[in-house]
Amino acid sequence: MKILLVEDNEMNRDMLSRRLQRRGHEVLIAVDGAEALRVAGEEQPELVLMDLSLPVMDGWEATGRMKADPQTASIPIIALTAHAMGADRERALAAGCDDFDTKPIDMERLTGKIAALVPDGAT
Amino acid sequence: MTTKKKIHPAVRMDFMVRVLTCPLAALTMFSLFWNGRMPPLWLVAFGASYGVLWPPLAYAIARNSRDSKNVEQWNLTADCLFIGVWIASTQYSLWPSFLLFAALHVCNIFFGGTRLALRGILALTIGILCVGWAIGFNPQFQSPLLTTWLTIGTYLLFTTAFAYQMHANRKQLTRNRLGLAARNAEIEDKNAQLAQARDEADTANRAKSMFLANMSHELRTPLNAIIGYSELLTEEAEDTGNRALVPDIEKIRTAGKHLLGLINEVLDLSKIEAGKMELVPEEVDVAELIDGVRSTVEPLVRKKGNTFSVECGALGSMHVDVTRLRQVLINLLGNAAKFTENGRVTLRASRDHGDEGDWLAFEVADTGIGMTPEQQQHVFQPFAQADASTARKYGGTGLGLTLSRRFAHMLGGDITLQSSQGVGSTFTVSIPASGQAAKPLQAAEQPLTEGEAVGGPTILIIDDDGGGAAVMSRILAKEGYHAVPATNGEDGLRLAREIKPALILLDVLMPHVDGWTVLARLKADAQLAEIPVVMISVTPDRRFGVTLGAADYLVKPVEQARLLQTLRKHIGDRGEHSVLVIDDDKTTRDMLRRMLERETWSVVEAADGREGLAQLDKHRPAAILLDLMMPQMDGFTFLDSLRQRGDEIAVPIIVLSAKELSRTELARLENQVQKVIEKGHFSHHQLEQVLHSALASHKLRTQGEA
Repeated sequence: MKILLVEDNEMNRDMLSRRLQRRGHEVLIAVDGAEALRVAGEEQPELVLMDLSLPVMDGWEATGRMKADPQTASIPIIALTAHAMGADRERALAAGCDDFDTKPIDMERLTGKIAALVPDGAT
Repeated sequence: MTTKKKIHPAVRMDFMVRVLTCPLAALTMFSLFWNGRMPPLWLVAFGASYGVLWPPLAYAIARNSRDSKNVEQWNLTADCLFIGVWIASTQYSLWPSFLLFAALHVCNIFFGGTRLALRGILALTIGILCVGWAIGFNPQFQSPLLTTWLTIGTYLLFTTAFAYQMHANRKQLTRNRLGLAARNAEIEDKNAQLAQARDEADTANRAKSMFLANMSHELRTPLNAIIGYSELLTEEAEDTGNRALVPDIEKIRTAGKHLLGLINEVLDLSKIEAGKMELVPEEVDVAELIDGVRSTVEPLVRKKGNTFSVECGALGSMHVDVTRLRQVLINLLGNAAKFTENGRVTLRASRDHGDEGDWLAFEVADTGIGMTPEQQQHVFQPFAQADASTARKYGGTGLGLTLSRRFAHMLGGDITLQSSQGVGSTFTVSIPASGQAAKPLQAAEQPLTEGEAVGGPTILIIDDDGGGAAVMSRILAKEGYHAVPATNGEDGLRLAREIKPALILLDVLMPHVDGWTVLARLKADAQLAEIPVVMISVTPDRRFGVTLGAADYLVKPVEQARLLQTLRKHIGDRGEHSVLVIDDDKTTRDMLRRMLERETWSVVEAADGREGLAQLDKHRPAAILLDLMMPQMDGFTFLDSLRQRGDEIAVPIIVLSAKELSRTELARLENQVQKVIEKGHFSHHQLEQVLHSALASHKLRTQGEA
C-alpha cells in the first residue's frame, strides 16, 4: 500500500517509515503540510498518516484542504499527535481526519486502524 | 478572690486624689469649730466617714463593679453630694465652699463632660437642701482664718495630685500611641511583603506551568524515539536471526515505557495542582468501558498466576471523561496485579440509584499482600508508598493512587479503601453518572463561585487536618450549609475572597501560616473583616481570640451540637433563612439576591418553574419568590404542580408580578400564595417586611390547619 507519512521530526519519520516499509508498504514522505498537499496530489497515496503540529502549514489545515480538494478528498487520513488530549482529537476529527492515534505509536494498534480504513490494502 | 478585671484608670487616679484630699477636707470642716464650739455629733460622724472611710469605699465599689467607669462617675456625683452636705453644715463659708466645688467641678467636666458636671451640681444642690432643711438655713459666709488656709491647702493638694495623675496618663497615652503606630507600620510592611511574595509566587507558578507544558513535549519526543527504535530493533533482530539481542532490546523498551509512564504521572499531577487539567466529558456505555479496561489489564493480571474476573450488572451509560476514568481503573487494577501473586483480582461494577441521581461504583478487589491501618493512612499521599521497601520490590512512583484519587475527585466522586494485611485490598471508586456532583469536599480543587453555591450559607473551613475538616463538612452539609474546606491559611484567604463565606471556621494550629495570622489578615481586609470567624483549637484561649476579633471559640474535638449552636448564633438557622427565587430574568434574580443577602437571607435561584421544582427537591427554603411569566414552566403551572404534589402549603409563596393581573388570575392565586407584589416597586426593607409577615401568617395558617 502506498502511504504518505507527514512528520517533521526526523527520528519519528525515519522510525515509522522503516517500520511501515518492513510491513511491505511503500512510504512517501512529507515534512510539512504544504509539501503533504503537493505529494498527495501528485502521487495519490492510498492513506495519509498526518502529524498535527507541523511547520509552514499545520496538520489540521492540511487535512481540511486535502478533504476540500476533489482530487484528494477520498484519501483516508489518520491524525497522529503527541498530545493525548481529548480536545486535540475533537479538533482533528472536525478538520476531517478519518481516525486518530497518539504517540508513542503502538504498531499493532496503528496497523489495526490502517486495515480498518483500507481493508484491501496489501501488507 | 476576685477575678482580674480591667479597671478604668480614672478609678485608681481618683482614689489617689481622694486619699490625699478627703481627710483634709474633713479637717477643714472641723476647723470651723476652732473657736471652741463643739460640732454636733452627726457632723463629726459625717466628717470622719467622709475623710477616712469614703476613699477606700469608693475605690472598692468601682473596682468590683462590672462597669468601673460608670460607677466611678457615680462616685464623683456622690462626692458632689457630700460637698453639698459639707457646705450646708459649715454655714456656707464662702471661700472653702467655692474652692471645693470648683475642684470637683473640674474633675466632673474632665471625666464626664457637661452631663456629669450638671449631675454634680444637682447632687451638690440636693446635699445643701437636705442639710438646710434639717438644720435650717443660716448662712454666715464667714470662716476662721485657719479654715481658709486649710481650704487653700486642700485645693492646692487636690489640683496638684490631679495634675500629676493627668500628666502620667498623658505620657502613657503617648507611649501607647507611638507603640501602636510602630505596630501599624510593621503590619503594613508585612502586608506589602506578603503581597509581593504572593505576586512572585503567582509568577513562579505560571512559569512552572509553562515549563511543565514544554517539558512534557520535550521529554516525550526523545522517549518516543527510544521506544520506537527499540521496537524496530526487536523486529529487525528477529528477522536477521540475531535473537540473542532481543531480550536486551526488550529491556530498553520496557524501561523506556516505564519512564514514559512515570513522566506522564508526574506531569498529570503537576497539571492538576496548577489547575490546568481539563476534563472532556462524554456519554459512554459503561459495559463497553469495562470491556476495554478488561482487555488492557487482563494479560498483566494473569502474568503472576492470578485469576481475573469481572462482575457487573446492568450499568447503562454515564457522562464522564472516559480517558480519566479508564486511567483510574487501569491504575487500580495494575496495582492489584502488582501486589498479588497466585491469587484473585476482581473488578465489580454496579449502578446505585440515590437521592441525588445515579452513582456508579467500581470495586477493585485483590487477595494480595494488603496493608496495615497505618499504611492505609498514607497510601493516597503523593510519593508515599506503603513503605520504602515496597517501592524497591514493586517499583512505581507512588503517584498512581494520588493521581487516581485526584481524578476521582475531579469527576465528582471519590475512592475509598478497605484492606487488611496479608488478606488483600479493595479499592472502591464512586462516580456520579451525571458527571456533576460537585461535592463540597472537592471545593478546594474546584472552587465554587458565589453564583454557583448550592443554596445555604457558605461556611469556609480552614484546617490543615483534612480528616477534621471532612467530618465538619459532613455535619454542615447534612444541616444544609454549604461547606468549603481549605487545607492551609493561604488557600483559606484566597477562597474567602472568592466565595465570601457567611462564616469561617479557622483552626489555630496550622503549619506555615497559623490561625492567628490568618485571623489578623482576615480582619485587616476591609472586604472580609465583617465575616464572623470561629476559632477552633485544642487549647481554650477564648479571651485571646476574642480580643483579636474572633466571633467565637470552639475547643477540639468539636461536638456536633456545639458547632451547630455556634453557627446558628452567628448566622442564623439555615432552613429559616433561605429564599428560593424563581424568575427567568437574570437581572431580576441578581437584584433580589442582593436585596435579600443584605438582609442576611441566603438565596437559591431557579430560572423557571421546572428548575424551581428541582431545587425544592434538594432542599426546602423558608419562602419562595415567584415570577409568573416564564418560559418552560410558568408560575401558574408551578403552583399547580406544587398542589398536585400536596406541597403547596409547606412553604409560603410570594408572587412578584410584572403585569396587571386579571380577576381570574387573581382568583387562581388565591389560597395558594401569601402575597402578590408588583415588580420594581419595593425596597429591600419592604421585601424583608413582606417576607416576615408572609412567614408569620403562614405559620399561623399551618398551625390552624394542623
